[in-house]
Amino acid sequence: MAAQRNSEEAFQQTWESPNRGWGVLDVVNNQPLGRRFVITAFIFFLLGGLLALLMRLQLARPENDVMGPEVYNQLFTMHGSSMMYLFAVPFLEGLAMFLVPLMIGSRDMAFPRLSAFGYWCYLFGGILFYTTFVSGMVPDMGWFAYTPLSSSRYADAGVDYWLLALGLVEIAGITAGIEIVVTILKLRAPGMGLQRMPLFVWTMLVTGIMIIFAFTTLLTATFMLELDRSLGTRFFDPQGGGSSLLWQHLFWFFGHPEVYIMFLPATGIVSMIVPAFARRPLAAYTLVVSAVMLTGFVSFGLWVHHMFASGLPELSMLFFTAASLTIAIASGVQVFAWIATLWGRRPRFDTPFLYILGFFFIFILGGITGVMVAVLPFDLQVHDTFFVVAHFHYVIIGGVVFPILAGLHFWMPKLNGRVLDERLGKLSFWLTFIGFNVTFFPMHILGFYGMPRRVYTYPAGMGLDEGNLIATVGAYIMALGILAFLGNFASSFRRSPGTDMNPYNGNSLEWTLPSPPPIYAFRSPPAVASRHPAWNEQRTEDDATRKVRTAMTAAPTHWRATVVTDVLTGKPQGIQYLSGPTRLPFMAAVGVLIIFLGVLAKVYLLSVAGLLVGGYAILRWLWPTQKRLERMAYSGIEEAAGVPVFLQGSHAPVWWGMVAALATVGMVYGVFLFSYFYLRIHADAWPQGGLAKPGLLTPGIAYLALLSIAPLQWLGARLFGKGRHNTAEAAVVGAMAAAAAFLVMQVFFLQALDFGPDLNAYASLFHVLSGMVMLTASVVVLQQAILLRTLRAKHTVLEKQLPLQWQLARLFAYFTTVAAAVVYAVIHVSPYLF
Amino acid sequence: MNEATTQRPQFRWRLKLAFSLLGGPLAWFLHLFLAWFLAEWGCLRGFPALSVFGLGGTVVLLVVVTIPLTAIALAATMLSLQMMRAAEEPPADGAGLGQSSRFTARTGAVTGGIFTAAILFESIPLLFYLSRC
Repeated sequence: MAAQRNSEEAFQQTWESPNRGWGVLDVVNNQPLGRRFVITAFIFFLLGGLLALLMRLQLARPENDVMGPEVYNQLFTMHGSSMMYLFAVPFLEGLAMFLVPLMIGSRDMAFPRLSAFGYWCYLFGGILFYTTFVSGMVPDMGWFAYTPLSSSRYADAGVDYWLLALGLVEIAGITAGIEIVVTILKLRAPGMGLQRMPLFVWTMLVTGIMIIFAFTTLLTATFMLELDRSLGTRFFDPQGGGSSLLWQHLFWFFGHPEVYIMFLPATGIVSMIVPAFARRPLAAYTLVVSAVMLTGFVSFGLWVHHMFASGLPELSMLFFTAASLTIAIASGVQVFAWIATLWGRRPRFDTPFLYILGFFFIFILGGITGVMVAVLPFDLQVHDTFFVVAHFHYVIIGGVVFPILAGLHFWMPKLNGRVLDERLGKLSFWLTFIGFNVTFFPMHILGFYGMPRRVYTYPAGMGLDEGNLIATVGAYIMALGILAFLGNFASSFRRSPGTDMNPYNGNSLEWTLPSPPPIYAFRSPPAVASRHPAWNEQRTEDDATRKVRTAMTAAPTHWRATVVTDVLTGKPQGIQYLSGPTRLPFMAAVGVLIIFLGVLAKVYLLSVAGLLVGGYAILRWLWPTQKRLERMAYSGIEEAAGVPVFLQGSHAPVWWGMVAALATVGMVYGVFLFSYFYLRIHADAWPQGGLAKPGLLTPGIAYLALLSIAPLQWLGARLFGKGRHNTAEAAVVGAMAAAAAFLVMQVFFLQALDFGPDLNAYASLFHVLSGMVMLTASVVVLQQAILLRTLRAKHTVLEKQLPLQWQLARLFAYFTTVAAAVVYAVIHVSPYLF
Repeated sequence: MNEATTQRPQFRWRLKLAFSLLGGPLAWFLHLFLAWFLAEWGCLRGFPALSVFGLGGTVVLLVVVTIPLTAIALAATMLSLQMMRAAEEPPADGAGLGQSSRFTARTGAVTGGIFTAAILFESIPLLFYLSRC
C-alpha cells in the first residue's frame, strides 16, 4: 500500500507543472501552454477590435476628422495584422494544443519543449508588433505589405518591425504546425485508427500540414523583403530586375491558405458541437473528412484570385476561377452534413448552439459572396471596394470568430473547470450577432456604390452617409457583445471548479475526464473502439493493447511518458519520452528575439550574441543526456508493456518531426526556386544586367563533393548494421569532410564572383540559393559530428539511440543531396539551356 | 511468421493506400501550378516551335501536361476503389488494418474522383484559347 502511495506521489510530482515565480518560464505542458496561447491571442483580438472601433468612428460621418490618412493607414495595417497573424491562427493553435491531446488520449504534445518555444516566440512577436505604437514607427502599408509600398524607398523602419515581429510569429506557427501533425499521427490512443479520429482532430491535422507549407512561404518571403530593405538585394525591385508582383504571388500563396487555416479548425469545432446538440453522430463522416482534405489542397490553388486586377494573362486567371469554384463543393458538403445531423432533432438552444446557428447564417452568406468574387468579371467590378470588406468579414467573423466563441462556451468546463452562465451567454450572442450584421451587411451596398476600401474618408452626398453610420453603430453593438462574453468569463471564476463534467453531452475522449482535466490527462491510456468514446464505453482491446495500458497505468513514475501508436491503425508501437519543465525553450526564443532585434537596430553584433544564446539553448536541448537515456532504459517499462522505448524509423515521432522539418526546409528552397523561374520568364535576358553565365566546373566539383554524402551515409548505415563500427565511423567522417570541403570551396567561389547580391535580382537569387545550400551543408557537418560522438562513446545506453540517429542523419543527407543537385542544375546549368 | 515477411507486404499495402489518398490531390495541384506557369510563360513569350495544326504552342504544352496528370488522378481513384475491396483481406499481422484501410481508400476514392473532375473542369478554358492567350 505504501509502495503504491509512493509511486502515485512520484507520478504526480513528475507531472507537476511549475506555476509560480520564475518557474512560469519553464512550463512545457500542453494544457497551461494551450491556455496561454488562447488568452494571449484573445488579448490581441481585443486590441485589434479596438483599432477597428476607432476606424469606424472616423468613417461614421463623411469628411470626418477624428484622424488623418496617416493614422488611418496605420490603424488598418495593425488591425489586419493583429487579426490575421496574432489572433485567429495562434488562438486555434492554442486551442488545439490544449484539446488535441485530450481528444486523442495522449498525455501531452509530441515535443513539449517545442510548444513552449513556439509560445515565447509568439509572445515576443506580438509585443514587438505593438511596441511600434511606443516607438512611433507604426507600419502603414497594410497587413499584406505590398511592394513597393513596403520597400525602403517608400516606408520607414515600421516595416522592419512588422517583418521581424511577423517572423517570430511565423516561427511559432510553423513549430506549432509540426507539433500538431506529429502528435496527431503518432500519439493517438490505442485503437484510434484514422477512421475514429474526432473531426476537430482531422481538421487540425490538415491545418497543421497547411501551416507547414503556407507559413514557410510567408517566412521566406518576409525574409526576402527584409533582405531587400536591409542588405539591398533586389528581389522585389523592378529597377533591379525584381518584381512587385512576385511579392504578391508569394504573399497570396500564403494568404489564401491562411483563410482556410483559420476556417478549417473552426469547421472542426462546428463538427464537434453539432452532434453533441443533435445527440447523434455526425452524418457522412467520411465525406466530411474528404471535404476537409479537399479544402486543404484546393486552398493552395486559389492564390491568383486575389490578383485578378493585376494584369495577368486571361488564360491563367480562368484556371483559378475554375479552382475557386471547386472549393464551394467542399464547404457545401460540410454544411449539408451539419444540416443532415440536425435534421428532425430537437436541439437545446444553449449558447454554444446559438453561436453555431449564427455561424450557419453568416458563413453561408459569406460563402455565396465568395463564389461571386471568384467570377472574374464580377471581381473586377467590386475589386478594392467595401463589398470585398463585407465578404471577407462575413467569412472570417462568421466562419471563424463565431465557431471560436461557440467552442469557448462549449469547452470552458475543460479550459477553466466552469460552465459559463447561460443568460449572459445568450445576451453576448444576440449582441454580437445583431451588431455584426448591422456592421457588415451595409458594406455590401456601400461597395456597390463604389466606396473604396483603405481610404480614410468619403465626400458627403454620394449615398454613402447612412450606410457608414449604420455600420459604425453596429460595430459598437458588437463590441458590447464581446464585453458581455468577457463579463461572463470573469464572473465564472466566482463559482468553484469541477461541478459538471459533460454539460453539453460531448462525444469525444476529453469528456470522459474530470473538468478541468489533470495535467497528464490520462493516467491510464484509454483504448478507443468507436468514434464516440464518451457515448460508447465499450472496450474491445486486444492483448497487446491491454498489456501496454496496464503497464502505463503503473509506470513509469519518474519520467513523463505517453503511448506511441501506428499512423494508420492506432496499434501500440512504443513508449515516448516526454520532456519535463525546462528553461531552454525560453532561452532559445530570447536568442531568436535578440537576433531579430540586432537586425532591426542594424547592430549585427547583437544578432551574433543572439545566435550564441539561441544556439547554446538549442544544442543543450537536442543533446541526448546519458541520465535521461539510462532512466528510460532501466525503468522496466519495455518488458512490462511489450513495446520499445527506443523507437526506430517511422515508428518514432521524432522521425516524423524530421520529415516535417525537411518539408519546411524544402518549401524554403521551393520559394527561392519559384522566384528564380518567375523572374527568369519575365526577364529579357538571363542572367540580367549583361552578366556572364555562371561557371560550371569549379562549383561543379564543390557540389560533387556534397553529393557524395548520401552514398557515404548509406554505406555507413549498412556497415553499422553489419557490426563493422570502425568502417562505419570512417564513412561518417567522410560525409562530414565532404560537406566541410563543399563549404570551403563555395566560400572561395562566391568570393571570386564579380557581382554581389545587391547588383540585380538574378544576383540576389544566385547568392541566396548558394547560401541556402551552404546552410544545409553546415547542418550536415553538425549532425555528422553528433553522430560520430555517439558512435565513439561506445556506451551501451547511448548506443540504443544510434539506429534512430543514423536514420535521421540519413534522411537529412538524402535531402541535402537532392537539394544540392537541384540548385546546381538550376543556377549553374539552366542558364545555358533557356 | 517473422517480422520481415509481414513488413514488406504491409509496406507495399501502405504505399498503395498513400497513393490512393494523395495521388489525386497532388496531380491536381501539379496540374494547376504547371498550367498557370506555362500560361504565364507562353502568353509572354509563346512557344512557336511547338505549334501543331494551328494550335498555339502554349495550348499544346498545356494539353501535354493535362493528359498524364488526369491519368494519375484517375489511377489513384481506381486504385482507391480496388483497395476498398481488398481491405476485406488485409496483409497478415495488420491489427485493425482492414477497417482503417477501407476508410482511407473510401476517402481516397472521393477526393480522387473530385480532383480528376477538377483537372478536367480547369482545362475547359483551353478550348477557348486554342491559338492565343
